[in-house]
Amino acid sequence: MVLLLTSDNEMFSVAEDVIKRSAYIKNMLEDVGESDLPIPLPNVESNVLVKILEYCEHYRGEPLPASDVDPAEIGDRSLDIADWDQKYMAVDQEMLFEIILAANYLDIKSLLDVGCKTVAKMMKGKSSEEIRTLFNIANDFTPEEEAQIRKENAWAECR
Amino acid sequence: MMDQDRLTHLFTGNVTLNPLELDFVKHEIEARSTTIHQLEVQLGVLKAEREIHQLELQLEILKAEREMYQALLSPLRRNLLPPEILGEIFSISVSTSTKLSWDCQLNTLCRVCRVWRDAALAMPALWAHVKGLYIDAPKKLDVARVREWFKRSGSVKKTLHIDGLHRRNRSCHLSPQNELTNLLVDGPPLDTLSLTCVYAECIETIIQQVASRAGEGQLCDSLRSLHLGMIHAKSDMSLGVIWAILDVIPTIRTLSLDLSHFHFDWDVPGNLSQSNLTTFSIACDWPISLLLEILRACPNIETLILDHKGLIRRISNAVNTPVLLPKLETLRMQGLVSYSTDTDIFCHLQLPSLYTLDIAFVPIGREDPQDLDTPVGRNIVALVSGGPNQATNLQHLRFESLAISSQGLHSILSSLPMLAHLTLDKLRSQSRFFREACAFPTQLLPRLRTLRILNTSEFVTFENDDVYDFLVNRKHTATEEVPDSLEEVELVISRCRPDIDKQAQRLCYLSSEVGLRVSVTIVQVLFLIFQRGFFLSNCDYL
Repeated sequence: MVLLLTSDNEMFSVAEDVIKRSAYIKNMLEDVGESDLPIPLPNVESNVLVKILEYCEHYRGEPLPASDVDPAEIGDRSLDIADWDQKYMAVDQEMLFEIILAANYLDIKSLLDVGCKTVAKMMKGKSSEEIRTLFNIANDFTPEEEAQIRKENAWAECR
Repeated sequence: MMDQDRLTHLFTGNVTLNPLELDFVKHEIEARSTTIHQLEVQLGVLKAEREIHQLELQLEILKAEREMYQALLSPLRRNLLPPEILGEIFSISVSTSTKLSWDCQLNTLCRVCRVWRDAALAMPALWAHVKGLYIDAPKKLDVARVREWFKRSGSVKKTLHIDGLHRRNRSCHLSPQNELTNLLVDGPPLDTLSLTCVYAECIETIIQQVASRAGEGQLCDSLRSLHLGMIHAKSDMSLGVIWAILDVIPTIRTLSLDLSHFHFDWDVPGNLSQSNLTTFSIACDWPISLLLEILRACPNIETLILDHKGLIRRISNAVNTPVLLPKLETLRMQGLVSYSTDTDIFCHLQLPSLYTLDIAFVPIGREDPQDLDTPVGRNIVALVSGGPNQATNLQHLRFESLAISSQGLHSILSSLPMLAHLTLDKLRSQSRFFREACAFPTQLLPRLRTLRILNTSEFVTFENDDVYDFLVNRKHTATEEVPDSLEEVELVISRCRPDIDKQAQRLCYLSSEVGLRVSVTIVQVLFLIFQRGFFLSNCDYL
């Protein structure tokens, strides 16, 4: 078992094969070896870790997916999300982004991918204004800047 | 009642009241007391309502203020996501958008806020694609803006897709624009270029313009993948310039051609050399003999896609020598007409390295597959057996909308002892093949590892039980000498089947007792008024 200590000082005891889905923990265990000391997770709160562990538990025993995306080159990608993952990601926005941040910190690529796809799916087909409303983002462009951007990309205006 | 004068007198003087007057005055006081009370009650209600309204107003204001403060906590507003994650979300968003083109979706994202624009600008790969750029009168290609767009992609490989839309009897707005040639020759080096236009001559003109300036720019050093698409061509065109593109730009490794209808007097240039090509895709109705002559000039291709566009090719002239493609690993045939003889091309090909064969037919009507004298069976057998250069190492086979008799399917599969992955998608064949194969389950496809039977046609009787029996028998009759290597089975079954519960039980048995990894999709098939159509909806995954 591996001990994990969250940012709000909650201790979790987790099976090694479950948490090894996190490349960060896996590497740490390989580097440090057997230890009774908890691994501190200063960037993860307990309620988020519970969700992360739910994901790792569900995919326990399944092979780690190989990353097939070269960040320097973007080709056509799929927005398909497995049914279970969709249900898992049916949380409020705050938790959704906490999961994404935790997946990034813990280096769980498949979960990060599902999180990013979920956000991309939420934005699909929406205008800039609708995206701002969806995520409570303020429009901080001046009218002049907006006009400039519009002019720069005039040929890429939605056809 | 009291008369008015007496009443006035009572109000103005000190007067003793008689008993009747006393009663009258008391009655009047009582009546007014009652009314006063009623009015006071009404007034109280009105005051309460006003207060409630005020409270409600206050509540709304507080809620709005709370939302305003809550909005400040929004993770994206607080910029909690690092730019690289935001960039990853953007890249998924632009590459999966179906409603908007890549560049249009990117434009939308950039206009959300400054942080998003900065995050997008910091990710060069996002700016490396310009797709669906339509050139049509009066719209002209603004080369400066395209250059500016690509500039943001830095050294990332770039993709440019341009469609020249022009109508009959109008001048083309693609080819006469020297701007396009300038962009191709002097512009940022492209990795992938797609040019499509209604008329072949427009494409030819552009290629000629590029060819005349080939030595000037970087295009000829950078381009790896080229797609040329055209619908109409004049009968007196030779399309020689189209073929010559590979001489002009020898760096091209992937060539995709969507060609116009064949004219009888067309021929393949004698000195055609496409030896640099590793991936070749050609969509046309040209005769097999001509196709073979083209392929003969492509000795190094590893992937070949032949799109028949749902058309039957013209009768071929005899082909004397077979075409050897020693490196070809993947062959995909699309849009084949079931009863055509187009798979005859297999009889003239030698593909010793063939690893994957994918054949997709155009779906046909209600004809019984037993009645179809389809040559695909014997042609595949000819391809995979018979000589040292035959495709004896075929590992992946996929059929889509194949209509075939049980015997025909048997003759194909029994000729593929090395096959490891078989997919039968929208199969038009009865399940008798699997029932009969139960008698010799491990002799048939002895190295099979995955079997996928997807969406069997509703026009034939296909019993999944026959497949289950085949799989179970295969496992039970396996020995150490002849082991069963099957690991994975994928099936699509209809929810409308009356025996769906029994099906589920058998699938569980396959998974738990036989030890196969079973993946099942249950679909609801709705038979609608369309004569030959059916709709799939409501997909569930177990």
